[in-house]
Amino acid sequence: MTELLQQIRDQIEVRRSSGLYPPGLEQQLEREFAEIMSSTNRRYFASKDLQAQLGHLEDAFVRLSGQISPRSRIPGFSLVHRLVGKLTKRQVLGLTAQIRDVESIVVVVLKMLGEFAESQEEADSRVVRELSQHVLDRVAVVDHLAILTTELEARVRNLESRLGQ
Amino acid sequence: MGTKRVHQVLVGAARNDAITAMVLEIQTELTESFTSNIYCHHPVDASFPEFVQQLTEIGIGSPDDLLIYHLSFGIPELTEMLLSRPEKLVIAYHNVTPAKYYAELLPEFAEALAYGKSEASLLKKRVSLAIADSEFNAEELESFGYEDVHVVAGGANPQRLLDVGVDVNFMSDLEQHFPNGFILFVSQVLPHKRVDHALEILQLLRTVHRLDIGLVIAGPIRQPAYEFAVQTLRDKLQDSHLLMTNAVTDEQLATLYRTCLCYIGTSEHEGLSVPPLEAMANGAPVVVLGAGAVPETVKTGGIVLPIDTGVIEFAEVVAEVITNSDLRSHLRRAGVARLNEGFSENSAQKFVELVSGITV
Repeated sequence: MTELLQQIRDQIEVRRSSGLYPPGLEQQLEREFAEIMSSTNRRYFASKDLQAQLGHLEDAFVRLSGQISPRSRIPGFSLVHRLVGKLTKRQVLGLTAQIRDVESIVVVVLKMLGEFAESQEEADSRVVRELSQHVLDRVAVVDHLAILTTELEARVRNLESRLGQ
Repeated sequence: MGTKRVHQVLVGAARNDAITAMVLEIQTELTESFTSNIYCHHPVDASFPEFVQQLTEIGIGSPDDLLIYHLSFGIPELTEMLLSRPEKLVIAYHNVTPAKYYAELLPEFAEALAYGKSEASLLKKRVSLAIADSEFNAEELESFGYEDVHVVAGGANPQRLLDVGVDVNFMSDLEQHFPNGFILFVSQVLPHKRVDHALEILQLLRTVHRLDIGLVIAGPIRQPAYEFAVQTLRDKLQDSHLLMTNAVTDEQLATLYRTCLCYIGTSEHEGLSVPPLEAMANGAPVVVLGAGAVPETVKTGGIVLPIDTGVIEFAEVVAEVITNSDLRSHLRRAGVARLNEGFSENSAQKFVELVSGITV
């Protein structure tokens, strides 16, 4: 098994020098995931909190009926509340309907804003991904050229020493 | 069932959790000789048998009774409670995950883990018997000042799936999903298990080695925030060959072990690690990172890579296993030989025998 592992390690070296594994690939992968982890807390919990708050808003919206209990802790005031309730019923119900209209739009707008923020983030990360891929490709080319140059230099030195002899 | 009471205490019982599985196996043995329940600090799922109860249900104890505390996390309230009880105390140490893996993602959870490391020291003066489920864990207990630590992986039963049949529907789903096969990692989806590394290994196998295979991560998703991070990485790698099953049935697990091309383990911290042993028992070639107790658990039953092995080398070794049938056969035989060498005994029975020694 030790022999097999050594063979595999030798093979990796060959693949590294052929440019199949760009230098620093593992470190770069490690860094990228560390970045994801550092932003996950904020992104994951922010998204969860937004969903929870939207849920609360929708619940509150369902409960919006315009009906208020006439009960009072002060003796006799229940009657007063009932009377005031009857007198203002038309206005209160009208106002409730208007609030419901506005609230339903608010819920939709907030959901859209949430989705927009999410898609914007996705678009941003796509751009960053494409850019990093482009940069990585260029770096890989430069690395490969550097390896080739080193090899050429070695060959030239070899040739020079042979000619010198 | 005897009249003496020997109860087990753990932080929480969960399905598809290795410690809970071990505790349940021990329970079966305990009830042969003692009156015994399992008490959990966290609320208990109704699907567990009635002898698994919440800790608030524990009655008044006596110095003749015994509590076996399975330490794997840290909760100050639980420490205080254990320190104040009259029963003799046995500590079964399963190790505590290093807090660093959670510091950024879940800071409060990380604090509890950091506390867990100190809990063993705090309980030391009350402990009559210390048991660790691996040499690695025993060494850690000794570093906290414990002496005479016994090593028994009590309740670990890697052969438990041998009598379990395969799930044919699941098998055909897997075949459709991964026509050229898949590699398997059985693990809870947690940061220190490094599922991200497993995903990167898959990418290298698919791109560098041109192996059109998939990866199955079989295990409950305990931290949705970490799963979110893994999914983000997956999106970044534009991968569609990863299947995260969440919790699986025993039939599904047996199917996965028996049909995978290779079992891999990328975890960076393991106090025991039973899944590679289960994989060996079910004929899967095993390639794992030698973290914590893994080298002593797997021994020569699989390929144990040095802890600092990067994903490139890991993927190269897995590619070799997948493409080299002689190596696969060798690993299958080595796995079975490893199990015959050290896991044929009834570990739960051995654990209970040790515990019985201090009940007299």
